[in-house]
Amino acid sequence: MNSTGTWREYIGWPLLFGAGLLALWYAVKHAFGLPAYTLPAPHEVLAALRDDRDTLTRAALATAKGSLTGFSAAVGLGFALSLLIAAFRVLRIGLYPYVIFMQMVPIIATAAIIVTWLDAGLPSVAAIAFLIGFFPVVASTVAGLHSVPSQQVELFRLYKARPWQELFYLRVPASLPHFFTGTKIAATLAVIGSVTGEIFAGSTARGGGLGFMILIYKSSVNTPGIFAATLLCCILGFLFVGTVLLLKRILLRKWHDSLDTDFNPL
Amino acid sequence: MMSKAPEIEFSQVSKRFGAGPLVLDGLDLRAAPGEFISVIGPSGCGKTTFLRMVAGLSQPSGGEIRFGIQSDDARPELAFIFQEATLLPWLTVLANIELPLRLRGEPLARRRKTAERLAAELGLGAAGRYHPRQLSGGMKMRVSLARALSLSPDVLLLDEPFGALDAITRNRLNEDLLALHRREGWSAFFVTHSVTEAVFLADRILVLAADPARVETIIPVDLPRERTLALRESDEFHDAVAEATRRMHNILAR
Repeated sequence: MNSTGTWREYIGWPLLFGAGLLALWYAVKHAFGLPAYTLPAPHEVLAALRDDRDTLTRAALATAKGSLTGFSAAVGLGFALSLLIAAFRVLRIGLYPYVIFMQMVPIIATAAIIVTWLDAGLPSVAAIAFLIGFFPVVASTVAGLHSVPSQQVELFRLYKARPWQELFYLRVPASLPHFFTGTKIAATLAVIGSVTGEIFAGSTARGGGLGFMILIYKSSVNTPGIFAATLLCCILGFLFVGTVLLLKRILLRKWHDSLDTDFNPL
Repeated sequence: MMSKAPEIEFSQVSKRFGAGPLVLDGLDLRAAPGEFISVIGPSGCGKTTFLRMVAGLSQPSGGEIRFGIQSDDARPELAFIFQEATLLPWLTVLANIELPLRLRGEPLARRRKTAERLAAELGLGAAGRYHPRQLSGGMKMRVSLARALSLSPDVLLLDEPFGALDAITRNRLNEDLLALHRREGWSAFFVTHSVTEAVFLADRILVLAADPARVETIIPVDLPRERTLALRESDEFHDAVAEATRRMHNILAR
């Protein structure tokens, strides 16, 4: 938080704007006389949430499981591949461009392909959440591993550090802020990836997830239900990103000063 | 713990980068063991290049740098101090100081003892658990010095280390550096832009010039080795600075 703001402001203003947006929502609905199946009112969304709470809770947990599995794999394997790319020049030159390229692949297309390869349900969903998060993690971490100031590298050479020492005592710690940037992106995308995956590959047999619920609600024109499921997706994503930022704060708070901007979109 | 500072001999040392012009040409110098040499000259005269060649970070294009024969090890222990403190921000002050020892595989208890001793000697005793971002510029430079001293070097190479500091901090660091030099006896090459600083610290001043690169002269500093704040205010010191400045201007104006 910057020094001019107080916590009261940081809670007060968002609440005020939230109330304004809700009022606008009601106003639009009434001005155009929109029925619930076109635009449900906020209280109708909450009612849908309450009515289907057991199903939606199960679905949210399934989505969380798929997202977490894919996200963990993306972070773990992404970090490992980044280390290899940093350690071996030939990988950096030969493989890294494809990592950048793979970030451009639209996830919806990936989802369509993955579903034809893997079982419907968790394996597909987790694989899609993995793919969508993996490349941002690698791209950011590799950038971080190579963003070490040249004088620090010279210092290590001067002290005759071995390559593994340079990697683990210098490059890895120096890359952590970048690593967390990639991880934050992966956390946001993991939930989006899971839901996309579920829309393609969810099935009731294995716990459909929120994406699957959106399909069900859509087929029965239950628009409040779609809104409710979407709201849960957002909350889930928020929890994921919040956890990553909390971890970053714990690990880097003592030495890195980018932290103050994490909750500030500007 | 007196170090075994070697004699260092430069014969016809020159350097050019690629097909570019010479940045250093025909340097002949014999530095006695434990001698403190300031290096001064305009920007682009090869001061930093000179230090980097002594450090082995860069190879001469011509000539030779020879280190006098040491009793046991062939290469003397060299420590380089950059313009910026170049600390690792994620490490505490103590962990920064002991980094070179950690890279050599010294066990934690031993290297921590050395780091704590050096921190105390450099007036960092209370800051041991701080991180660099919590320190002032002068304190950071002290950490950088302590780190350089952790390996008990034979030769210290300093590339304008105090250039960014305020005058008071700079003078204090100059004195502390000399006190350490007197006690530990390493040789030093100290690049600076300040004639006053060069005179205060050095036994001799190496004056380099650019366009074309050349060694202009070597000015001996005729002051007692014991140098304190009091000396700084003496006529003797002012005369020495004036003399060095005059000689530099004469030569560089040619």
